Amino acid sequence: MNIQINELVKTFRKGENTIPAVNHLSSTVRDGSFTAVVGKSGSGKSTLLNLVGGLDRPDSGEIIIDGKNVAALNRRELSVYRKTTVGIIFQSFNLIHHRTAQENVELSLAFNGITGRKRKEKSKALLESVGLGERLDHLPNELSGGETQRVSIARALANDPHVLLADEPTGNLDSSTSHEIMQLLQRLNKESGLTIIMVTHDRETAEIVSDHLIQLKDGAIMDEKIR
Amino acid sequence: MNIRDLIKIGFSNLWQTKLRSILTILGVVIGIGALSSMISFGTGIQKNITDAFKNNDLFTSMNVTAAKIGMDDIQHPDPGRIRDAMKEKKAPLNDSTLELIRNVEGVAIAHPEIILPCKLVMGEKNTSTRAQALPAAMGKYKPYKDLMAGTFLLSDTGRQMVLSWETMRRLGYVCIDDKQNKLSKKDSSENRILVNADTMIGKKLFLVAATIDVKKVMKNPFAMMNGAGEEAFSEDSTVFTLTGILKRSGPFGSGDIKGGAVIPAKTASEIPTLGFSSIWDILSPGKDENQYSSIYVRVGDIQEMGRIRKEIEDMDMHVFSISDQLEEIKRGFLIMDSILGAIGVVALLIAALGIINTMVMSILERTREIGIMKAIGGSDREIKTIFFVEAGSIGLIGAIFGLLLGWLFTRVATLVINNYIVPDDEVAVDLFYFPIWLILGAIAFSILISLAAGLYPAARAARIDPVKALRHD
Repeated sequence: MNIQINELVKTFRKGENTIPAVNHLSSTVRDGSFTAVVGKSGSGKSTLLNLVGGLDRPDSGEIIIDGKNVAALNRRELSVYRKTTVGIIFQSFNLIHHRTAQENVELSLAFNGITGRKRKEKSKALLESVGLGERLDHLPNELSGGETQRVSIARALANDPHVLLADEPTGNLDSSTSHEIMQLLQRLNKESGLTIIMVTHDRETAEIVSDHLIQLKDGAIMDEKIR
Repeated sequence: MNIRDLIKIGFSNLWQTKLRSILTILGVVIGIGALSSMISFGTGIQKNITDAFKNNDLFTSMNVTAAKIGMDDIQHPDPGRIRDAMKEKKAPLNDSTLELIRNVEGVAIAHPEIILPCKLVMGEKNTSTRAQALPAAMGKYKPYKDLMAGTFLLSDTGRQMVLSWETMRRLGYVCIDDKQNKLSKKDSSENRILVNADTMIGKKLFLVAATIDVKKVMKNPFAMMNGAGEEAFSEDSTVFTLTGILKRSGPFGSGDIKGGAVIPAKTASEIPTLGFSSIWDILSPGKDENQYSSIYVRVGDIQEMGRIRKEIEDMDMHVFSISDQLEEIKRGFLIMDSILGAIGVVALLIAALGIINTMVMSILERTREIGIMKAIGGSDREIKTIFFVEAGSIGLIGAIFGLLLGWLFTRVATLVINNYIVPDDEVAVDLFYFPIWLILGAIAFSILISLAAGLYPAARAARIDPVKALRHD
């Protein structure tokens, strides 16, 4: 299912000034594509991702996924959207530090109403699929950066989302670990047909891994390439 | 997310901040401990008194008098008011009115109340008490139906006597029962002996009636005070056989209120002329011969009290009943419980502030975690519920340990009261009572207060903006 973004606007207030973070942005993200959003710091990449991820609301415009306008969903509908339609991974991993790798993945499943053995088995399978079968009971601070991001990916995939949103997923990782994570994301995109929207400042990597590149400047699309 | 998971998360979050959680719970423990022990004191006193009333069937008893004389007149006699009441005197109390009362539907038993001050002599010991003349039929009712030894009066004639446990003690015999199986220091110092009540049945004792001619006394009451007027008194001694011993009354029991000895109704009339036969006589001297000063009525069913009372009043008689005082007593208890409860509630409210503080702190510390939960699909309601579970758990755990603390406190207080305040020859008292409604009520109240304390923090947590929360350090 395609993601249709129409005339999306998001502004932030800073004192008496209004700063446009996303400025009348329109684009279509194809189903199954690996879209990379690049741009300098403050260009509106993360804001765009937060809007598509239903974490934030636009001032105007539309984000149509599966016939629904995410921008028009109420708070309750947004939480359902976040747990069923999208999975999000962050630069700073955002795992709950006092929960083990498996418990972090389980939490996502629990919010979707999955209980008992099914939850245990699915969380274990997800962690095994990202190569962490031996690290189920480890706390985030007992894992390396790459491993932590893999847990984060497993958690994001827990509820079989249509879209995986990745906000600078390798920003806190060294180059070899970054490479591993990128390979993992590519595998997910190619093997499972998962639509991925990744925000990164690393244009070089973005050009390698993506088939749809959006370059932002001051909240608007400066350049867009589809392969 | 199902409720089990929410509870699990709530508890796990509390466990994350053990020390703070324990300190917050401790506040609730103290609050509930204070509240429950205060209320248990109120209910304990109430239970002791109502039990004592019930054990003596006071709720189903009434006294019928010719003039309107109430509890206040007994406690604080006012001759002026009594004189006025006498002027309003209604129907006379005699055998025919007694028969009328007996015929009222629902009246189980009615008999003239005759109580005579007397001295009892058993061996070398003697004691002053009041002997109550009762029909043998009273043996069917409390406290006469269940004796510790012997039997109640077998007939309305003969020289049979039933004594209270307390009277036996004053006569030098401490009867062994489940509350006392050894002599207290006071008993030993007063040369009392420990006996099995059964061995005392059949013993002879003398009833010495000090008769007073009220008319002579009333002619010149001041002569009595000066030691003159002795001609108004005379003494007469009658031999009786001890047929039964009443059980020891409880700490709030009426004990010897009406009399420490019971003798058959007809036998009492054979004992030389009595100056007055009951408290009603003292309050209403000058009644005619062949009239009773009061008639004691016991009804079969407490629900019938109102109707029977009205029927007797319609006969132009006045009815006094302890149950009249019941509403007033209940109101008194309610006020006492409210005051005691209020002190406990204040303690609990302070604990509630502690809960609010803990929860708000917890939100500040866990802002990012709340953001993560929202990002992975946690709804406002689920976030709110997690915080409610945390607040409710504080209330529940606090209530359980608070009740335990309250109960322990009351046990210690009871121990201290019985060992240092109640004389060692008196029945041990338990002034505290933890009925099931108090236990469940305290738990429910604690959870309710805690949930109320969690309202604001939970709402605040639910309102958190996930984007801002995820940026929070």
